[in-house]
Formats: sequence, structure tokens, C-alpha cells
Amino acid sequence: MINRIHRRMFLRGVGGALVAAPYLQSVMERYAKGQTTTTPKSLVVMFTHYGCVTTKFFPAKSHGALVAGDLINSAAPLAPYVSKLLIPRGIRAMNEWTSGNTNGKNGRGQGNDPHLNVVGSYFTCQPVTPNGNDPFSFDMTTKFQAQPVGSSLDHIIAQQLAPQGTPLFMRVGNSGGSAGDNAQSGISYLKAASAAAGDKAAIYPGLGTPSQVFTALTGLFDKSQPMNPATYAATRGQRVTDMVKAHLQDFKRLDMSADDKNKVAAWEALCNSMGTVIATGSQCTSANATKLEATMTNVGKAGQGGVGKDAVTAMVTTDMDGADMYSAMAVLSVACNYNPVNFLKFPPNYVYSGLNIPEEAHALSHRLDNAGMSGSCYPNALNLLRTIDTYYATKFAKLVGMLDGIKNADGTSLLDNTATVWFQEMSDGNAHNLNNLPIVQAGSCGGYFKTGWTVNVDTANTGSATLTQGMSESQCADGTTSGMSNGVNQGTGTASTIANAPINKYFCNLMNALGVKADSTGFPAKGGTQPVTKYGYSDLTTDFCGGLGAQTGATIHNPGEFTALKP
Amino acid sequence: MRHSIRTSLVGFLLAGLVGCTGTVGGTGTGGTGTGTGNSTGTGTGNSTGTGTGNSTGTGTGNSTGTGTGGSAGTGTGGAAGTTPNPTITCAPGIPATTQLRRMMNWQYDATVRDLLGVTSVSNGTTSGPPSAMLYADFDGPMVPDAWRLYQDTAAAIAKAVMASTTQKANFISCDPAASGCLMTTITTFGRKAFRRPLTTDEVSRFVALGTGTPMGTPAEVAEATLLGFLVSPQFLMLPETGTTTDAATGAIQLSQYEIATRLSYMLWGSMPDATLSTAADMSQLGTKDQILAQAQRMIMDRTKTSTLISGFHDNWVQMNNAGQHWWKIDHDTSKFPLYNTTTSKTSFAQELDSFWSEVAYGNGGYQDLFLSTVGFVNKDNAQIYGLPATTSTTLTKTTLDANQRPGFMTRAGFLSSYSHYNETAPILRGAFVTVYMIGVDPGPPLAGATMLTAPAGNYATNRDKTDALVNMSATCMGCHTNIINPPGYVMETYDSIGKWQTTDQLGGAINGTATVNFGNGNTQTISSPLQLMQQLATIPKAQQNYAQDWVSYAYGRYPNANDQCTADAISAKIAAGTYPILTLLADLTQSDSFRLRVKATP
Repeated sequence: MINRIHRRMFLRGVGGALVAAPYLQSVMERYAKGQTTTTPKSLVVMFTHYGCVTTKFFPAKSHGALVAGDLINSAAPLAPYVSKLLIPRGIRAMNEWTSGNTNGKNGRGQGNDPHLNVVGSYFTCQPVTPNGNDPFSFDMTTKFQAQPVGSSLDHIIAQQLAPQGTPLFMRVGNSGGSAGDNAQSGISYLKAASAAAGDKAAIYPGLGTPSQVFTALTGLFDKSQPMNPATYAATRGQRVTDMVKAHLQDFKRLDMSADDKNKVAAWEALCNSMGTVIATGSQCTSANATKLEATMTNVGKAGQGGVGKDAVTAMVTTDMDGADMYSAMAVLSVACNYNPVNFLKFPPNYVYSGLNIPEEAHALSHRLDNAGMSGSCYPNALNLLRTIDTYYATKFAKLVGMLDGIKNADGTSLLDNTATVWFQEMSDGNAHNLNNLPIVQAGSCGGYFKTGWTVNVDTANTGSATLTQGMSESQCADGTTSGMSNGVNQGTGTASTIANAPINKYFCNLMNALGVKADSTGFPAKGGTQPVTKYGYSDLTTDFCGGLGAQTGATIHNPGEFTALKP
Repeated sequence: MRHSIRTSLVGFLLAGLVGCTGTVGGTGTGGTGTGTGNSTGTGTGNSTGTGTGNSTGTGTGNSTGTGTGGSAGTGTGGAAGTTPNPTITCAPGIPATTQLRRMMNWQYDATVRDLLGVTSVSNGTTSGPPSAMLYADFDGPMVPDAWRLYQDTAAAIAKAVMASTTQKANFISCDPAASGCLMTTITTFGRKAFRRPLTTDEVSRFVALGTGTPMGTPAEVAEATLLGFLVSPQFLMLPETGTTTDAATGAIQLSQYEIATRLSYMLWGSMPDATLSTAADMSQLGTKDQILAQAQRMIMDRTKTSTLISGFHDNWVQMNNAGQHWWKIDHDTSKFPLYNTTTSKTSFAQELDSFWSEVAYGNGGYQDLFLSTVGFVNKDNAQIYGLPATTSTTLTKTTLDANQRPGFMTRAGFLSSYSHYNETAPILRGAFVTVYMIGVDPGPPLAGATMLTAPAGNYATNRDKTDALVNMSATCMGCHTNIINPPGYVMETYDSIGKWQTTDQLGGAINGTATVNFGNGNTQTISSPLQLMQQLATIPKAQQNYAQDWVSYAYGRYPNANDQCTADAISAKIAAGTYPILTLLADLTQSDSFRLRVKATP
């Protein structure tokens, strides 16, 4: 059952009501019980940096029905949910950095930076600009500031499906603080519709603390105090908004640059959206919020960092840490139908001191005490990495459990109507290889995906159950300083000739599952009526060499989704 | 447009600049937000990075088995890799700028503080500075979450103000039920909030908040009025909408109010005070001299201006460059018992901020950044500086040893950051000096360089071990022996946490003499940190970089040919010596581009 509320009233309520209570109680307009509709579908993404020790993460078999016993080592926390998991294997992301990415035509992508290339292109499948042809250059603009030329998947989907038009993007641990992520770690990008093809998209910082999300959600799940529309308080928000619009109109009359005009137009559009009606999910209740321990007090504790503090692993309650509280916000967002696109991005360069890990995660991924790519093995590096891997798996399992723990009247759970996906920046963090990516999905998204399976979509060997688990332990295995780590030779990765099915296709799966539409070209387009068959600049990582337009024939060579992932 | 710049974090607002991150420790909490685009080489995977600016310290010197232990840090490992400032030729003119600059979050805090006396607000879940509730600083147009949070924050502030007798008086000083009270409030408060008198239309719009049905109580309407101001584009942005053309240049003259806003937001990050506002009302900001007089007055408000000074210098030394090493490393307390893993970093950081401010307000200039012996000591650094132990946590100004403690690079903050967990890091220190203080970019390391490790041996000093490492390759020696390492060797007279040392941990006597290449053929044998700092204070390229950084930071623009003219003039004054930083700030208000603007096209 869907309850409909007027968006503007909801916003008004949140804006005007801040009272001390076990949870925020916003005053709401009267609501009407609406007609039953199909349960909306949602995407929940958890993203972590620097890959993992793949040999201790991937199940031994790469194709076939999964049982709990298949999920061992770092993946063990996922075992209780095995029947709801889908582990696609054989996939690669685009624009891989290698030491051979030279002269705009060699290698497997642009030569900008081992991380900037990756994160910039991961969810955009677009090259970054300006292009770098020297993989070891320290030029500021290419190594540190280049950004993709297109919007990322979260925005593409949100533009069609989210009431806000933007995703709920959360930076776990408030990484980056008031600045958000930079180009070497940002994965969410928004490009203005009016921008030229070669222009950069802007990094979308999203929200840094759970409380920033909580204040938006509480107006949705507490309906105990309907607002009397005959009161001034009920109309205050609209009056103020109308005044803001009038102020913006003053700017519109000025002779300004195109960029300035866009700013005004965007703000005005937001003001106009105040009248949009949204429908809340039937599970959008304060009871569920309480069940998730999403109280004012707990939410306020999470995301509060400081010098030397590990806000991600710091416990907020006896069984929830900071990261879990962000997950709880994502779950509430799904329950409340607040936003169908929810991203949880873990921090880059993080010191998980709460896990007794003394080195920052990026350096560790190189088995070093620094962020270089080669050198003497850091003592016990692999075990420390596995600790992080297991932690991430625990967090994902917790997220999945929260979603699965909220049941619909028909017996399905929130999880069943989501695609909850854990994406990792790369396969092996030392090798920076993007093939053989570790991806774990939970939830069938309303039956669109098969579950309880691992499916090998590698074009070289589709359906093979023996895809390699990688070579993560081939360096620094004994964890002593006698060994050497060499990330330049990609020895800890996976042979580049295998596990190269393009991630673009998986994104098409996700978009189609959620209901995103395409135009006749097959690319996502608002107002489209077709299924999505194409996404991004190219589905061949070598097409990214040299940047936008450098490779003749760069295109989507293999359109469509992975049918093998469907029931 | 974000700022990248060699260092720059921009202090002034451009089209939505991003604030500094100032990340320290395990969480990336926002920093002073005086700037943006920490973009200076936030770098991961800088890869083979030996030696150059980044020096993640990879490879060579560092990889000799030093334990790391708890580097605290978010920050990307290494790769500062920021190349030194771009070389730009002055081209007289005024750069195009946006007319709609949005306040940065730290400026929002300062403005709300000065306007209403609000420094903390609750959103129901947490309490803290208002900016903690806001969306991150970002480029580009308003997005839904940002707009929502602006509204939520404004509502929280409005509610809190109306509930506080003191703060309420900053907004409304009459009974809202009294005739004419709200009108008066709209006019007088609005003058401050919008930084100019309201237009007739604007006044009418605010009045309309209290009309129509349903009617609100006077208190409700008053609160709504305050909310309306706080979410208005005229408040959140710093609009420049004047249209008068300057006959001499063809550019557009800023109005008196716009000049006042530029002055106050550049120097204080906040709204004009009453004196400045009156000057604008009286059209007394039309000439350079008039602007200078106000600037000089404002600069002498140390409390308000120190944020700019500290913020700039923190950025100048790469403190907000996540690819650099500031505050990332802890130290082995068994070897360095004077180091406190809980409090040292905070004390060291505060000391440096106090240092910058004290140098500036002590009438110091660029050279004094390298030579001043002023220190601020408490329990965390007193003994590191050779002073008697103290239990005080309060940083107290003192004069340190003239030979051992000249300038910021001999403070515990720098020395402990540019070290390893349990030993010194001459390459890290040397690379920092080379790239950022001398202005020489040695270029990237050769592929495979980081695979080298020092030959096994009984080394008497860390310097010896480092030499042995770089001597394995003639190619490495070319940069390390002649350029990068020598300044770091001079700084070997300070141990891993910054204490003066004459004996290395490995047992040998410290050799702090090295031949340092200061660029442009200036190579000298340096025997002490004092000598090193005396030379660094005179490097023309570094002075030029400093000037360019100030211009970029203050104006909120990437280095460009038009602003280079201003930077050139400033660097010439720096080179002449005795050019106080406070005078530099005032001079920044004297450029044509401070009073005039050009519309960006298209």
C-alpha cells in the first residue's frame, strides 16, 4: 500500500519542525491512502576502493548454483544470504591504467593515473579529460584533475527515476569532509545537459553524514502529527519558496554568462519541484526506523570524525558501527521510496585503526607502507588486507540483512525488490587490473535477476566454472620484508586476455531491471520507451587509449545486457 | 571552477569553490575551507614515485624497512606530485568572472556568526557549526540535496534565533506585533543580510510573507522572515550585478556594496562590518586609496583576518594536499617518548597556525616564514624544542633557539610529518624543500627505481644508508645526490619528531653539511638549518610562487595572465625585502580587477 503525501508539505515539515524526540517528528499534512501499486524497485550500491585479495574472496567455482560453503575466507560473512546472491564473474571495467598506456594508443586505456582513470570511468564508461599519454607523468591536470566527459550511472538512472532527479549518494565516514571526493577517488559525476561533448562532468559530492539523510527521511516515515493546512506553518515553506523564485527572477533579467544563467535555472527548477507529489513506501514507518536503530541519537553519532578518529568502524550502538548507520539510511530510503538510487561509497586512503590496522588502505593494497607501486613487502600486508576485505563483506552482509529484514505484505522483502550491489574499484589493488572484477549482487530486483548463483559471463569462456581467482598471493605471501611487491608488472592480477566481459552490459541489466528507458539508439534517454542496450563511450577498454575520439571506431561493440544473469 | 594551483586552496569564492579538506586522521573532516581544489596532487598511485615532490617517499630512502605504524590518514599516499607553479607572462587586463558566487561553507559559518551570533545549531540529531549541516562545497548549479540542506539549516537557525533573547536581538529589536516592526526589521536586517539596501520589490516580498491567509502569528511571521533571508539567493550568493562601465577599461565597475563584499569576504570570509557598510553607503569605496584605507583597518582585526592568513599558509605548505605527508604518520613512542599519539598532531597543527599569524602580525614578511624563531609551546613540544617540560596544554608564545629553530620547517609539525614512523626521512624533507620551497621540479622517477633497496650493511647514519641506496644507480644519483637529498641531509639534525640531534639512532654522528642546489646555478655548501633557511628565504622562483599563490587564493581564480601582473608586482616587493605580509594583503585590494569585472562569455 502506498501512502501519498504532498512533497511540498513534506519539505515544509522538515524545514520547520525540529523537536527533541526519539526520532524527528515533522509535522505533516494530512495524507491519503492511495491505490496499491507495484512495489518500486531500487538500486543500492556499496563501493570500496583498492580491490581485494582475490584469491581469498572469489568462490572457487565461477559458474553454478551457490551454497553457503562456497563463500569462505573473506566472503564468509555473505554465506547466510547465499540464496539471494548473484555473483557475476568475468567482468571488467573500462579505462584500465597500465605502465604500457603510452602514446595515446598503447595499453588498455588512458595514461592519466592508476586511480583517476578507473574511478572516473567506472560508472560513466567515459574517458577522462584532459587525456594523459604518459602513465608516469606527474602533470597536475592529467594526473590529479582530469574528469570524465559524461555523467555516472547513478545520475543517469536518477534522472529518469528519482523524484529529486539526483541519487542519494553518501560518503561513508564523511570522507573528504566539506570538499567531498577529488578526481582520484570520486565516482559520481554529473554533467550539465548544456555542456559540450568534450567538457568535464563535475564531481558530485553527495552527502557526508547520516544526519543529512535522516533529516530528509524523517518527514516521510512519521505521520503521527498531520499538519493542519489551515495554519501558517503549513504554508510557510511555499511562501518562502515563492519569494526565492522571485529573487531568482531578478537574476534572470541580468546580462549574464551562460554558466550563471544555468545556475539560476537549476535553482529555479528546484523551487518549482516543490509541488511534486511523491509516494512513500508502505514500509516507511517509524517502527522500521527504530528496528534499524536509526534514531536521532544514533544518527547523530555516526559520521562524526576528527583527528585520529576512525568514524567508519566506531561503534554507534552495540551492534552497529558508523558504516552501518549509513547503510541504515540507504535502507530507509528504499523503504520510504525516497530515492531509488542509493550509493554508499567507502573512503579512499583510509586508516582502519578501529580494526587495528596501522597503515592506510591504499598503501596496504600495494603491500607497502606507501602509495608507490613497488618496494619491500609490508609485514603481514595480505592478512591486513584480508581483514579489510572481511570487514567490507561484513558491512555488505549487514546491509543485505537490513534490507532482507523488512518484509512486505506478500512475504517478499525490500531486498527482493532491489539490486544491492557491491562494486570494488579494481580486482587486485596492487595490479590495478580491472578485469576479473569482484562484484557481488544481492536481491533479484523484483525477479529480474537470478539469485543463488555465480554466473561467468566472460566472453572468452562463458559459463566456465574454472575462471581463475587471480594471483593476489603471488607477491608478499609470507608477509615479510624479504619479498618485493611489484604493481607495475601486474603480477598479482589476472591475465589480461581473460575475464573481459564489459561492465557496460551489466549496467544495462541494472538499468533495465529498474525501469530506465532508452531511445531508439539504445542509450538511456528520458522519455524513451525502449530497453537500454548501450551505455557509455565504449565497451572496449582499449578504445579509451588517447582519450575522447582518439581511437577510430570507439563505440559500443557488443550492445545488450547479460542475458545469463536473468532467470 | 575548482582551484588547482600548485598549492592553492582558494580563499575567496568563485563559482562554487570547494573547501579545503584538511583531512587528518581517519576521517576526512572538513578543514578551514578557505580554499578549494586541494587539487594539488591529491594523488594516489603516484606510483613509481620516488623522490620528486611526492615522494611518497617511495622507493629509495623510505623503503629500507622502516615500520610504519599508524599513519593516520586519509590523504592519498604520496604523489603530491604537484608541479611547481606554472610560468605565466603578465598580460594586463581583467579576467572574466562569474557574477553569482556562492558562499563557501566556512564563509557561511562566519557570516551567520557575525550576522546573528549563531555559532552552533542543532538539526535534531547533532549540534555543531551550521556548515556541518550543509552540503559539501561544490562546483556548479544548485542540486536538490544542497538546496534541501540550505533550507533545513536556515530553518534550524531561524528557530534557534527566535528562541534566544540575545540572538533574537541581532535580528529583531522590537515586538513583531507592533505596527511597523517587521517593516523596520526587514529594512535594517535586510541591509546587513544582503550586504546592501533592499530594493522596494524585495521589501514588498518579505512583507508579503505576513499577509494573506492563513494568517500567521507575529512571531511566526518574524521567524519566516528570517528564514526567507537565510535561503535567499541574495544571501547565499555574493552577486555582482552592477552595470556601470568603467570608461578607462571598458570593464564593469563594481558597486560600492560589491566592493565592500569583496573586501570583507576576502579578508574575513564574512559580511562587512558597520564601518565598511557605512563607507559603502557613503560611496567612500570608489578609489584605490579609499579601498586601501578600509583594507588596512580590516587587516588589523587579527581575530577576523587570521583565518585567511593561516588558511593560506597551510595551503602554501601543502597541508591540504592529500598527496603530501602532513599529519599522516604517527611515531614509535618507545623510541620517541616525547611524542603523544593522541595530542601531538593537534598541538603541532595549532602551533603552525599560531606561527603564521604571529609572523604576519609581528610585521613579518616572506623571509620571516623561514627565519622567525617565534614558537608556541605546550606539553607536546616544549621538550622537543629543548625547553623544560610543562604540563600545560595551552600553547604559549616563546622565542626559540635562533640557530636551531628558524622558520616553520624547524617546527615539530613539519619535521614529524616529514619523517617515518621510527626514523627520519631525508628524501621526504629534501623533496619538499626542493619542489615547494626552491621551486625546482626534478621530474618523475624512472620506472623501476622504487624496486631498489639499499645494500645490506652496517650504516652509522640514516644519511649513509640513503646514500648507499641512491648510489646504486647513476641515474638516481643525478637527481637525488645533486638536488633532492641535500636539503634533507641538512635537516638530519632533527630526529623523527623534530628534536635536535647530534647522534643518529644508528649510532653515528650526524653530518648536517651538504651541497644544496638552489637553482639557477646557485649551489652552496650548507652546514646548518639556519644557513639553509637563510638561503631559502632569498630564492626568486619561490618568492614568485608565493606571490602567485596569494593572488590565486585571495581572488579565487586559477593563475592566469591577467592576475600574473599583480603577482609579479608582489613578488618584486618580496624580493626587495621588508615587505610585510599584512601589506601584501592590503596590496591585493589595489588591483584593477578588485574594483572591476568582466563578464564571462558565452
